Amino acid sequence: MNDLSRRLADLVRGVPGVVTLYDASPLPSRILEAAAGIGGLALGSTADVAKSADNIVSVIEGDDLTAISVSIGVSDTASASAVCRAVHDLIAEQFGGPSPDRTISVRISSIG
Amino acid sequence: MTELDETGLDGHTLDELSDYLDRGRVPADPAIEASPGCQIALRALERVRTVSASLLAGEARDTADDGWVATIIGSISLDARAGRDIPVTHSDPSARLSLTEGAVRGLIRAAGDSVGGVLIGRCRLDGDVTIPGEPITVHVDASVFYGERIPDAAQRVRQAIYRDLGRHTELVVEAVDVTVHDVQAPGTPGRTPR
Repeated sequence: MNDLSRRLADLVRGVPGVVTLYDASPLPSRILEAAAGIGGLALGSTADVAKSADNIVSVIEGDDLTAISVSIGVSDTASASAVCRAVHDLIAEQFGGPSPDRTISVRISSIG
Repeated sequence: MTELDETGLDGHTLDELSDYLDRGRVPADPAIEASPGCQIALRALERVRTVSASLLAGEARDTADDGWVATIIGSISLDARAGRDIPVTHSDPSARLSLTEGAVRGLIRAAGDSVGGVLIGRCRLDGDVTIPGEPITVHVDASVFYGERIPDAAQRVRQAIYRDLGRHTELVVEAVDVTVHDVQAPGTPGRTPR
């Protein structure tokens, strides 16, 4: 799972206009991970961010559905909406195109 | 003293971000750099610093009323919150594409600040931004610098916001309302516009 997440992260970083990847894992899981210890670190600490780097693209596989989520920061030199679609299409391409068994969420969290 | 709402800063405070800028963002703080809210706030803080430094230059800075700067800085943390998801359409029905409201407010603030002679305060999107094609209205508060013609400055802000929203989003912007709250003269207390 980490390999897939890392591979997708590398691909997304290569899309023109993408300047940053943010942690896309759901907030409850981040809270649980932080609470689980990892040395008792507080949420948002440096180590917490470093730990989540391998899963910065969230990939959740269920019985019937795979959900991929990515949160990005984009530059203001290209259309944010166009970059959003380009990131989606690149990820979909890795899985052989669109499928009803898969959702791909791309969220632009900062521009500029 | 007005209490700041800093919930959009992922556990950080504007004071921390201000100190971080003072240090030239060195050493890099991974938690701040990994927070979209902090990134939006840092960019806005940098613009406010640049503008207020040039406006309140030299000795006059010590005697000037910096209250308007504090008000603008307070609004930065509010506007940095992620807020609602604004959809981006795609032909694939399984695609879930969006921009955060915080990202769009940051874009609006940057557009307004870029026109010169103006600093944007609070920014609000009225209307259901979560429904594609739904008309919305943008409201911004602005401080205009002394010597600027207020109607011209407001028009420049409006044009810049329309331009950038049209370029980056699919929002249907029905109106951009600009409310000028005060006029700032170099080294003097803020004045209420006529």
